[in-house]
Amino acid sequence: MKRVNGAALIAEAAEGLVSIKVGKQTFGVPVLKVQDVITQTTINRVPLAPPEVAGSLNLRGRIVTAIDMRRRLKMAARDEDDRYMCVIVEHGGELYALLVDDVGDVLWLSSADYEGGPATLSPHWRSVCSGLYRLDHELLLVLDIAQVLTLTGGANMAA
Amino acid sequence: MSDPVDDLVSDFIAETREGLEALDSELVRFEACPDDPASLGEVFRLIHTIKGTCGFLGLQRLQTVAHSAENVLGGFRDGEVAVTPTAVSAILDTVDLIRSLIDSLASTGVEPEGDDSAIIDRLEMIFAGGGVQDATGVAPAPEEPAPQAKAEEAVAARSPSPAPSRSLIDRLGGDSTLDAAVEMALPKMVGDPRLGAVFAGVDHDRMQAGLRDALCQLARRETPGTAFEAAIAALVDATPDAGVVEAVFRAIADAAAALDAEASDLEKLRGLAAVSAPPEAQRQEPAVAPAFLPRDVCPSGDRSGDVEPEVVQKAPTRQPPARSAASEAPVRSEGESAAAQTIRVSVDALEHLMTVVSELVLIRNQLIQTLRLEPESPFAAPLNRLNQVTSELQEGVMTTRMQPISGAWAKLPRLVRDLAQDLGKTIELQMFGQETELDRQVLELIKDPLTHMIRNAADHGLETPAERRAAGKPETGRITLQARHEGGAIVIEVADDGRGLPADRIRDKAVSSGLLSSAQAEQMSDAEARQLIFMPGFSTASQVTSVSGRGVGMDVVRTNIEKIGGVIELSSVPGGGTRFTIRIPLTLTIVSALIVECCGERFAMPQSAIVELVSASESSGRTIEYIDGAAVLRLRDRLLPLISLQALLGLEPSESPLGETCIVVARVGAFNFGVTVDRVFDTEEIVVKPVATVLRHLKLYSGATIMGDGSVILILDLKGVSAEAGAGQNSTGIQDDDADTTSADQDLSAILVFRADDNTLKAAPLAEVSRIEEVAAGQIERVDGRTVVQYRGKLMPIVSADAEPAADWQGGERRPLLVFARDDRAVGLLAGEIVDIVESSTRTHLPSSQLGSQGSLIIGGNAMELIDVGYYWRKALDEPEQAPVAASSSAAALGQALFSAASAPTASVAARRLLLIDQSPFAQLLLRPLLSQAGYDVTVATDPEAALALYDAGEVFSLIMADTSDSQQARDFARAFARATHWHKTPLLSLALQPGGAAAPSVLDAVSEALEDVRMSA
Repeated sequence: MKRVNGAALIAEAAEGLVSIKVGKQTFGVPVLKVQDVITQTTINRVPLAPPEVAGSLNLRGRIVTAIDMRRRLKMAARDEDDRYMCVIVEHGGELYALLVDDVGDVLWLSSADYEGGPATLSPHWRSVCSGLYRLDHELLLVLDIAQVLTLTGGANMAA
Repeated sequence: MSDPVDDLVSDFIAETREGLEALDSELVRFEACPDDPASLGEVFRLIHTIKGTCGFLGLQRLQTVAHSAENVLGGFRDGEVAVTPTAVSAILDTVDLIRSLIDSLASTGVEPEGDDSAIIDRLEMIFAGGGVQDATGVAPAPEEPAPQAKAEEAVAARSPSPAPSRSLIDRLGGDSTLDAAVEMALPKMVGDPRLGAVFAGVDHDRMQAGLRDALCQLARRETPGTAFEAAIAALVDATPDAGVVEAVFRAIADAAAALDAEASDLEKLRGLAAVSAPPEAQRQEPAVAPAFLPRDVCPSGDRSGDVEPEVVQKAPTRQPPARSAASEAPVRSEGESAAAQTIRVSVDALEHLMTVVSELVLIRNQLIQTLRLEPESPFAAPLNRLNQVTSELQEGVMTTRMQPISGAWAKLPRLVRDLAQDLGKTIELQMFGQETELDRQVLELIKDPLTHMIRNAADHGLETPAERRAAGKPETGRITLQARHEGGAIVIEVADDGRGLPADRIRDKAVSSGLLSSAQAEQMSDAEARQLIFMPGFSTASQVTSVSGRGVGMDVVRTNIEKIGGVIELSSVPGGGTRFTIRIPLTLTIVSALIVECCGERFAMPQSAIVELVSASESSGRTIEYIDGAAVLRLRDRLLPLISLQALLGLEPSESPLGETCIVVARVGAFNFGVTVDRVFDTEEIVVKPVATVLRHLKLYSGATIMGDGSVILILDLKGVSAEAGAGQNSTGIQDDDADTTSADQDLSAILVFRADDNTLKAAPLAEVSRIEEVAAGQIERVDGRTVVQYRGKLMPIVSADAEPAADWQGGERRPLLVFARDDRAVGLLAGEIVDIVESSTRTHLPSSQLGSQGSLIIGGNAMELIDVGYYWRKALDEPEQAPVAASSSAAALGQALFSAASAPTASVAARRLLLIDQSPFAQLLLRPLLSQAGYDVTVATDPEAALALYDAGEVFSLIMADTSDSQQARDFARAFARATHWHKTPLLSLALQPGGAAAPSVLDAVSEALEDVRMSA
């Protein structure tokens, strides 16, 4: 019985997601995209960069571009002394650090709990989320990393 | 596991491709001078190698084509086929065919099907047309298209029975066989007790090259000579006895025999080399020789003389360095044989190595940074060592990526030749500095731009022969390509001596294509107008006029060059030609950059674009001025537009503005501009990392780098900075006109600008300033009304800018002291503040009547006095303690009087020739300038003998002055003077300097009086 359950679980576990919190919302980042999770570090700012770009940081000799997820999701800015975490993701051969408020467990979620974003989701969030999982206590939005890292549109470009 | 045959084929492809690259240039060189056996030999060998290897690998099409080409080349070499452009074109076409066959072989792994009879027929025609068609089957049947049959023909063509018409060198198997024979004989010679002793300590490569060259020369000329013996003599530095010469020859001949050389040919060679026949007993040796043969060269035991030549020809393919060395002059052969010590490494492996080393450099930098904070660390010594080793490693890896620029140039002679034929022009391509090395990545990237520029130069830059004749130029147009290292960069110049770029027509075209308004165009200088050819849209807009094509794609060229951090500049003389100067970094991944700070952020600026650093502050006399809000700086009488990094990057201005602003003067194209920053740190070698994709739209950054402290800083793209600031489009920049900068540069020299005590600006020629020291008020001592400091164990007199003893000052502040030194003595000039060191013309605007000044200069918009260092130096002699020469104290006192006299206007004194006989520096340093200044022409003789020499030379003077205060001197003088009978009428003024004579009369008065007497008596 147990064994069957386990097999079923694995079959259904279409996606492993690193759960992160941005503001009060929980998001999931596909675990295969995540290279590393590091704590707060020195970030050197990049003048004229889009506002979502918090700057560059040095991860063991590689230059990583930091994306402030709060800004990316158009949330209220973090307070100066609020702690944050960096989720290092790789995209197109480059490394990016997603600055988030907290990083939780890796969740292996059943595709049975998956569904597309609700119609009421704001177009902005819809553009960066590929769908959501229904968890017991909350909803987990799955981030589409490629979209998250596509900083287009005049509003984003304005320095 | 890979198939060994495939490995062979891929080796062959790689080798042949390299060979073909070289072939194009060789052939063109050969066509230009058909008499040069070296270039023909090279071409022949390459084709021959291709043929031989193809036979071995069973590549029949290639083999057949190469064979036909080889026939024609052989005909060239033996003088049987005339070297005509048609023939060379046919060979070049064959080379192209071979190249395409190799390409498809590389992509598909098999030789493509196809019919080459057209080109083969062409080659046959040329070969047959050359006259001598050898009956022994040199030519394959032209009507036979089946490749198999051709191949057999080809094999037959090289049947071993030597055709009578073939030269000895050919019959012996060419240079390569002789080279192989020498190489095989080497171990035997060295191992032989007698020969080994003779050749002890001789470099093997040298031995091989020397012997081979000698033998090849003899075999080629087929006339007896002493070259072989001479070669041995040169190697061992002594005349070898006949036995040694014979033994060496025999060893080589044995090896050659093992390589299937005919015994009769070897005997002939022996005769040519004038080597005596060996005693019969030693003739037994040859049987031993094959033992030295490498396995793959030695034919199997039952192989007799009729072995296929292809197998033997494998030897040269296996020994590429020897092959190329064989044809070259001995001078080059050293380097060539050094190339034998090479291996092929995949580019990917090198790239990876480079990346890893870059990382290592970063880690090293971080460690060194840590060490600075903790100097007592036990890791200090190993870290310093690590530092050194890393630098060496970095350098080493960089070197492995270096390739001579000739790699990018190899195709150009062919290109120019083809262009010249197509265009009906005669063009000479000169290439200099082919050995200049640069990073292979850079090399790849400049290939296309260079090709483009050469094509432009040939097509549009050079006139037709008729036009050139009309313009009074030689009919042959010249394109010059030059490469050299300059600092950390490679400079490549592409110049033609054609018609130049007509600025007017470029202006017209820019206006007609809507790039400029006609008003803008009119304001432009010619030099600026020419820059328009680099603008995108300019060249491609229309190609109607004859001039338009000149710029086709130049924007692409510039973009490509700037992509690799290079700059391209252009100068042109109407009717005289056009010159493009490209400056590119040696390598792309590590560049030298200046680290600057602005508003608390650090940035790196590539050193290559930086011209100089200047500072602007209230105190430096150089201030930033504003024209309608636009900041400019007066720099050497021109206006330099300024770009504020803070404003450009939208940074928060720092709270406490610093007193002075640093200005980094950069140059992009012909446009100079200044970037204002808060601070300038050091220059550092930085590892360039690309900018993240999300930041690529920011044209201000060309990359990012990690600093020693681990922080990430951005590398500013100065081109982007200038474009962002709207610079380059307007003409407010300091724009160099092609002609006048060079002339203006010539009388520039470095000038030290300082502020004197009285707050005036003064300038000193930097060349005269030995050192700049700092002194505190307490260090200055007063001795006898003079000021001195103890300096390097001596007392150094100190004067202030007005040549008076230095005044005291309050406070512990240290002041700069300019030290002027001559020989072992020094004088200090106390300055209020060092302002700047600038390049400026030393041509003074107003000659000064004031002592101690050479005149006034305008530097940075400020007038200042250029001090006369000699004056301060003379003033300092006024220091009794400092003048150890005899009679110095009186001399000093006299000097004082002299100067007071000198300040009176003395210009009315007629120029008279004075002879001053005195050995003390007093004469040189005091009297001479004084008298010269008063208008006399003064010659100084240090002793009576020197004066007599002048007398003997027929010199005539109006007055002779001599120091006779010392009785011995006076006697010497009188004795010498007695001889100078013609001078007896010349008045003599004795300088009897009295000890302690404080009230010495004015020498000038004495001189003029003495001369007056002469005039009266005359």
